[in-house]
Amino acid sequence: MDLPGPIHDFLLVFLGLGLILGGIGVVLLNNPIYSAFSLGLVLVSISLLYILSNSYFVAAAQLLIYVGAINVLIIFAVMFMNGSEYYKDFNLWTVGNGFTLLICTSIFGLLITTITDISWYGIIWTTRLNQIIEHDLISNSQQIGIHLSTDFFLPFEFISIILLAALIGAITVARQ
Amino acid sequence: MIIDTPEVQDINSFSRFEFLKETYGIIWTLIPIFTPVLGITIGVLVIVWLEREISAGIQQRIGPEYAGPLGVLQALADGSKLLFKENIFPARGETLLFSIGPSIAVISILVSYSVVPFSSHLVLVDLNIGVFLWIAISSIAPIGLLMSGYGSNNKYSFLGGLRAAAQSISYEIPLTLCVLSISLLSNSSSTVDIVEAQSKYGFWGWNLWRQPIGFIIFLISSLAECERLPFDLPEAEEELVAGYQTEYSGIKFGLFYVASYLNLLVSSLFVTVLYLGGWNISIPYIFVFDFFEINKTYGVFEPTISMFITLAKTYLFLFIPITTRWTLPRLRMDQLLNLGWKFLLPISLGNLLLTTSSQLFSL
Amino acid sequence: MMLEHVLVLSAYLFFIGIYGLITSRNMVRALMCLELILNAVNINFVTFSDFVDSRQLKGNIFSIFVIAIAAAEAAIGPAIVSSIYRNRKSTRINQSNLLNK
Repeated sequence: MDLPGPIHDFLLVFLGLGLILGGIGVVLLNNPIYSAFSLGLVLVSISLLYILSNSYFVAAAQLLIYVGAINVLIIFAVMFMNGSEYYKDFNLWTVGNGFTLLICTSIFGLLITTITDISWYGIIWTTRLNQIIEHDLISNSQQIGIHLSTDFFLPFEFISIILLAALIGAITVARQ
Repeated sequence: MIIDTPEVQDINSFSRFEFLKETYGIIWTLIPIFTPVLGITIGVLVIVWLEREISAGIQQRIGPEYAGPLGVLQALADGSKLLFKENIFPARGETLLFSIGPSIAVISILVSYSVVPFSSHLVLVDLNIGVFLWIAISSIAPIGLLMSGYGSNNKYSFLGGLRAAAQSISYEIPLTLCVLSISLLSNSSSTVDIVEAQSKYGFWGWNLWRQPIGFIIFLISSLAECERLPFDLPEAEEELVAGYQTEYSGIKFGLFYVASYLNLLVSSLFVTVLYLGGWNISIPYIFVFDFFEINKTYGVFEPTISMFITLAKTYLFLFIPITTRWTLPRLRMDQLLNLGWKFLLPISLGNLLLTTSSQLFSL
Repeated sequence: MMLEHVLVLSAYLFFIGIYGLITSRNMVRALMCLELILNAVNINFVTFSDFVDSRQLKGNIFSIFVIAIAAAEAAIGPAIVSSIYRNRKSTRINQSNLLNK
């Protein structure tokens, strides 16, 4: 998206903050309802991030499916099972938690050093040069549709079968 | 090293000029965002007045008459009353969720106005996923309703929130399928292209005639999305006091009120854009510009006329939802869900199939 | 947009998801952390497709596949959790040992 520089940077910082705080909230908040809503915050800011990187179709799909369906379903599930037991297990800090935290932060640090070491712009330049310049007449969503119905046709059909099976399975498991 | 003072001044003035340019850039991106918000607010006030007057006409009353001529300012008076009322928080509710809920409901509807075209160039963003963005954004609203229902710590509010979420999720699927068949017909999902595709034969080129089943399904499911009367189960007075807004008072209640009318306005605008030909004059063989003998290149006139036509169609269409409010009785919850899942969904799927096959054969 | 910043953000999201998945005692929260991990992968797909492959958009298509699989998973997951909850009256992960006996 072509925005003036300061607005773009401000939006990026804002969305990054929403993502970081929401992610912490999903894991650390005691009440699962709050963590479900902060999951919603994370999903919305990810979708706005997609809009910033010019992928409108994926952004709309993210909003429609993740926020509108999955997050609402999770909130329903949490409300359905909201017993009094949730308040028993807060602040149970065990050795395992500390160990997991240590491993996760160490691998995260390793990844950050790797990411900053690689010269991404060299890679981008070489791939840009290799690409054939095509006409820009086709819009993003049309491009995605063409790919889905030619190159990725078999996975597309499999996905639809998987969705149908999941739908029937969920109904049979949930109704008794 | 000696630098001439005029040079330094030049550099200074140049950097200041750059800064000014940047500020102007920011202001120029913000102005087109805030002007429509003002216009939309006025539009909502008009709808509130219209609903009061039409209801009064149906029930043979007079309706609002004291605030301004014909009671035009009644909605404004109501709004300022709500603004000054006390904000009451339920004692054992979740205050944070209680406060965030209404604003999410309003914002998610307000954002979807950004893809509504009022004229061929008078649209905030002309994305190539236009209508799809409206569907996607309007699916956020149930989260706000669930939030406020849970945060009120009240059984009625909670049930109302759950009902609202279930209803809006189940009626969104037929709505999406109808929009999909429209975008198949016009080979694009951008709102501007959809209107352009209907501009050929005037009145007879409307999508209403090519998609009659789709139009009826769209009408029913948009009524359900707006929680208008045959489907206003989330706030059914006899069962749930006032649904998810039971505990609200002051401006937070006002936000819910505004959100429902905003939703009504945006779905009516989308009916105009998708089915009723948008900004086209729609009477064949009459061209406005020949009629008034005004040069088409003269800038301001054409957008004004287009906007006027769009708004006229929208407000004329609004008579249907408002009169159904006083005509039809309320459904039961299981009837509502059965209608959505067992009737509208198969029919809209069949409609989509018909549209796709006719498009394929016409290739 | 800087590529590195987005990559660091997605790595952060991935590891906080892994941490939550391992340490959470509540099944629904484990599902939420799974969604976080899938989203971290999606961010990488979309960003690389924007920076490297802005003509073909194959990364966008893969992210749409991931979203569809996540939808199937989110339909099945709460259904299983709710049936376990109905039998056991609990959603603790370590108490769901129905096959253990």
